[in-house]
Amino acid sequence: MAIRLKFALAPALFPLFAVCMPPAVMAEHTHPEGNLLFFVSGQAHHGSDVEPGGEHLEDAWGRADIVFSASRDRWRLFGEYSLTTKEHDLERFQIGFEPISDSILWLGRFHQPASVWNTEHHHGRYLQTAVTRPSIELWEDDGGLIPQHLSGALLEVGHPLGHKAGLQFSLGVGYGSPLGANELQPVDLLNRIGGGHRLSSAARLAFLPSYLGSSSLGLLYGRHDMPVRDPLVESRLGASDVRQSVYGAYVNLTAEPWHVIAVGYYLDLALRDTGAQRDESLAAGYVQVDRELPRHLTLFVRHEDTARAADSRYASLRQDFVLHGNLAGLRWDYAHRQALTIELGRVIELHGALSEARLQWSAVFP
Amino acid sequence: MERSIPVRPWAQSALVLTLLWLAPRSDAQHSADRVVLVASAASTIESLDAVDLRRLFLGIPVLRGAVSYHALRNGSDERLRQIFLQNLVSMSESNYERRLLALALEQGRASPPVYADQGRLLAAVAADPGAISYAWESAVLRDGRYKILRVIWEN
Repeated sequence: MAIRLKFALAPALFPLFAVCMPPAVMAEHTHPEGNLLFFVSGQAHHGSDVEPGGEHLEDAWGRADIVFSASRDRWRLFGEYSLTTKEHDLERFQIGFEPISDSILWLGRFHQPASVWNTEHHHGRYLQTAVTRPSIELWEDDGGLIPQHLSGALLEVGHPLGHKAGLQFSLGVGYGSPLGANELQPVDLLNRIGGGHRLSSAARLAFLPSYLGSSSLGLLYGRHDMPVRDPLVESRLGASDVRQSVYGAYVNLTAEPWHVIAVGYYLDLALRDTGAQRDESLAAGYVQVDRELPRHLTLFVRHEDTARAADSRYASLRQDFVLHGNLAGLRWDYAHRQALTIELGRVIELHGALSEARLQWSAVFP
Repeated sequence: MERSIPVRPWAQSALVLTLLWLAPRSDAQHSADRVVLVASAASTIESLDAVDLRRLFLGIPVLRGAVSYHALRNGSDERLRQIFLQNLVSMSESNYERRLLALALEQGRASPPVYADQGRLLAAVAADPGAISYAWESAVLRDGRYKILRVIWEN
C-alpha cells in the first residue's frame, strides 16, 4: 500500500518540479549516449456515465512514463516504465544490436509494430495531441482487443528510396497475450502472472515520403494465438482459444500546419473449442486531424467507427468498447515541453452512450 | 520660395571618404554573416550530404569507416537557432522537438546535446574527431583546430 501511495504521489509532484526547471533548452548534456526522459501528465475527467475513480487506465488522474536508454557502439539498451495512479509496469525493455545503419534487431518486450497509434505515441501522453487514444488502440489492461506488447524479437529495417523517400519494415515475433478474466495478459517482466502465452507476430511495411520525416503510409499485419484462461470468459465466448488475424492500412501525414492520421483495421477472429470453430470479424478505424494555430494552439478532431463489432462475441467481452465516437479539443503548448489540453467527446459504447470532458496537463522533462 | 542649403567642399569630401571607408567594412560584415559546418581538424570527414546532416541533428549517428559521427547543437544565440532549423533540419521548432522526442520514444535515441556557450561548444568539437557542429564563420576562421566542411547559410 505504501508503495502504491508513493507511485500515486509522484506524478503530482511534477508540476512543482516544472516550476523549478529552467525555461530554455540550453542545458548541456555531457553523456550523449544515454537518455532519460520523464513524460508526465495529470487530468481532470468528467463523464455522463462514469463511476468516480472508474476502471479505465485512460481515466487515471496522474501518469508518469520514464523512458531510459543507453547505447555503446552498435549496442542499445532501452526501456519504458509507466506509472499511473492505478498501476505501474515495465512496459518495454529491449536490448538492441544495429549491425548496419537503420537496421536494428531488438530482443525483449516491445510494442507490436502493427499498431499505428502506439508505435508513435507509446505510453506518454505529451506526444499525442488528444488526451485519449482510440478505442481500438487501447492497451491490453485497459480493455484493448488487440495484443500490444510482445516478448521476443523485433527487427526494424529502414532503407532510403531515391534522394529523399524511404521504406521501413518492422517485424515482431514473440509471446503474446492469453485472455484473462478482464483483460489480455501479456508477459509481465517484473511479476510472474500465470502462463499460457503463445506465439504472436506483427509486421508493418511503410513508405516514407521523406526518409527522416514524420510522415508515412503503409500496411499492417498481425496474428495472435490467444488461449482463454478464465472459465467465465470461456463460457461467454464458447471457445477455449481465439486466433486473431489483423489486417490494416494507415496514413500518417504531417504537412505543417496540418497533421492527419487515418487508420483502418480488419480483425478476423476464429473462436475455437474442442471440435468446433466459430468465425467472426469486425472492422475498426479512426481519423484524427490536427491543425496548428497561432499562439502555440492546436485544434484537433477525431472520428472513430466500427463495423460488425456489436455482433462480435469477442468485442462484447468489453462492454465499453467504442462503436462510434467523435471528439474535439484544443491543445495549448504554453511552455517549453509543457501543454494544456481540453477534450470533449461523445461516444457510443456497446453498453450505451457517453459524453465526457477532460482537461489535461502534459509535459516532458528535461 | 525654395532656399538651397550650401554644402561646403570639405563636407562633400568627408562624406565621400566616409562612404569609401564603410565599403570594405561592409564586406567584412558580410564575411562574418556566414554560418559554417565545422568539425575538428583531426577529423577525416570531408563532406556530409543533406540527408546525413539531418540524420546527425536528429540524434542518429552517421558511420563512416570506423568513426561514428555525432552532432552538437549550438544554442549560443537565437539567430543561429533559427538558421539551424531552417537550413539544417528544415523543420519548425515544434516539429523538430516532436521528432526528437518520437525518436527517443521509438528507438531510445539521445537528442544532440545543446551548448549554450559557443566557446565550450567549439572546445568540444576541437577535442572530438567525431563531433559535427555549426558556428559563425568568424569564430572558427583561420583557427587551426577546426575544419570547415561547408557554408550552410550566408547573408
